[in-house]
Amino acid sequence: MGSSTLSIGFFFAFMALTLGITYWAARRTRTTEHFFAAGGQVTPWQNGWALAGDFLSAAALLGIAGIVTSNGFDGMIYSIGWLVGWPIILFLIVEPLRNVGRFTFADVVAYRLRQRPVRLAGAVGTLAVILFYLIAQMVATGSLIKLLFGLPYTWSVVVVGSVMLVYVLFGGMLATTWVQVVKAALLMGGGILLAFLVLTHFDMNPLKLFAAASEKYGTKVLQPGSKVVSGQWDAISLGLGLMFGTAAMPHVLMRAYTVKDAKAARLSILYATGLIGVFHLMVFIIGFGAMVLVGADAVAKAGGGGNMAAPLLALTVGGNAFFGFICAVAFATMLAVVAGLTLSGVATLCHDVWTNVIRNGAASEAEQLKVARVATVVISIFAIMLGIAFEGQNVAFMAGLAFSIACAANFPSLVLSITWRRFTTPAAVASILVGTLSSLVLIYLSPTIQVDILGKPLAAIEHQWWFVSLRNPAIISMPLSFAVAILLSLVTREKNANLAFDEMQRRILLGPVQPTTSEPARAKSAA
Amino acid sequence: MDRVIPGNAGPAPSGVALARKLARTRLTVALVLSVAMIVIYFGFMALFAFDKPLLGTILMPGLSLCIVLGPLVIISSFVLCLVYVLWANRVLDAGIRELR
Repeated sequence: MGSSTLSIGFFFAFMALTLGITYWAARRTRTTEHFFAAGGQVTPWQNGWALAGDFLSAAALLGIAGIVTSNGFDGMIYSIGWLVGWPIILFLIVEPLRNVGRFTFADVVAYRLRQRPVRLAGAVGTLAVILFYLIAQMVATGSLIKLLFGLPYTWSVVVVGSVMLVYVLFGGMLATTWVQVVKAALLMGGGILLAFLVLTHFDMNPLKLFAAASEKYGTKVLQPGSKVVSGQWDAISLGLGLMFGTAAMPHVLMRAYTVKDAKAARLSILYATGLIGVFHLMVFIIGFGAMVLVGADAVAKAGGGGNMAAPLLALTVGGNAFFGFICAVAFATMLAVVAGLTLSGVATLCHDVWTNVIRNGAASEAEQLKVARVATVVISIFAIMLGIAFEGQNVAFMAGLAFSIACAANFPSLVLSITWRRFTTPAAVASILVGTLSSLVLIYLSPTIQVDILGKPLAAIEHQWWFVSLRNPAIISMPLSFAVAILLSLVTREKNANLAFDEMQRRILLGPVQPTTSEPARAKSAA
Repeated sequence: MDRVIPGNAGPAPSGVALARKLARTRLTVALVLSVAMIVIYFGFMALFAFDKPLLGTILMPGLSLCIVLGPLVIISSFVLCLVYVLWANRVLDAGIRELR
């Protein structure tokens, strides 16, 4: 197959470029500051592109285009949900994060509180998010590569896991950032070209495209349906998870530290929001383009649950070369996303768990770097093994679960630690753990696990007392986490946390005055 | 009791008062914009969840209300970000320079 050779050619070109970048970055990665934050040297533009690269997974191109092709408008519910969290990051989170923290979001939550319990709880929340998101990504990657390139599933997972290991292990954040930038540029370029080629068939007028779609499939494709998101409160719950989960995704938050100051962090979120917004608008065009030009049936017949919509559209409007290019872009996309996720997991294991919990803040640079590299290898092996173990399983819910946990476990404690003087250590720990556990329990008792995974008939369980009809737990778990945090803060007192609040507010505005400012504050709150 | 402490930690008391005022202004702007975003998004999601027929109103061939509002939610998120960044670059950064 000519297109397959071409796509493999494009793919090798991408690998050669990114491995070259990794080699270049490896020689510049000497300290933890480099390994986790690229030495704070990334410019806002680069970081904006890298954020878009980190966040736009294969689901954003292949998945949403597929949903739009088969269901019309409803695919946009995901596009919108994945975007509206970004303003929240900008308004509430990014500047405090940049000025108060160093590598992880737990830096901020633990700043006024007792280091060890808060960081340990933060690590539980973060690692749960990363674990589920990583499994979802690895399984999707394995089956998509099998579909696109014909490579066996196990090999696809091993190749992706090993290449991501090389990026992160040797090149740290600097290499990962540039991999994201290259991938985001390819993805945006491919997306723009694809949307443009679709519109040339419709006099450059999207309305003619939509009209053609509704002529062919009925006006229902232009109207909201209930197949993609069922249930009224479930839709609201999904929205909560997408919005506030995005605002607390560890691999996104980590990028606040790669730029030189809060102003640069602020600008990079603005650029990222613009890029991701434009991309999602194009995916909408691409999805409708595939519906009209390729046909919903042809896409469904190609397998992969609709994921072939965008590649098949590329084949139709741009021929073999473009098909190969889009397949290679999809591969690059998966690779880049898992690299970003792995790096944020490594930061949590090394910086939060090892340095600040096990070694109580007294680990040398060399030791931290060594631990970071060991953690990279461990997480990569885990990712590969889990990817293989879950082959063929329905893991689509795990991505949603990751967003729900981020929303319920990480977001409340992060926001309260920044804005509320009375917030205390027991409240932070309980809120993170309750957010994580309640999301897990609720999803376990929902039709997502009970019906889809365990195969029980809905009629048999829907009257059980424990049954939860919501597929998205955020609407229960997030308020629960907030309530626990507020209640426990009100019944406990923490003098140091209270006193450090003004200093923290000052630091949110001014940043660390000297690199050592965090030390006295840390000693004070640890005392 | 707490109120005595900032005076000890910060440099001049006026600086502390200024920092507090600026922090409060920043938080107010951030909260107002966040609420705006939340109202826009959940307004849209509420229509999606509870009034699908309204959202599915066909305005003209090829255009329904949701196809107008959906992209508008996306555009408004970017516009709100732009508003915050413009405000922060002019007002917030000037205030921070004054504090330093």
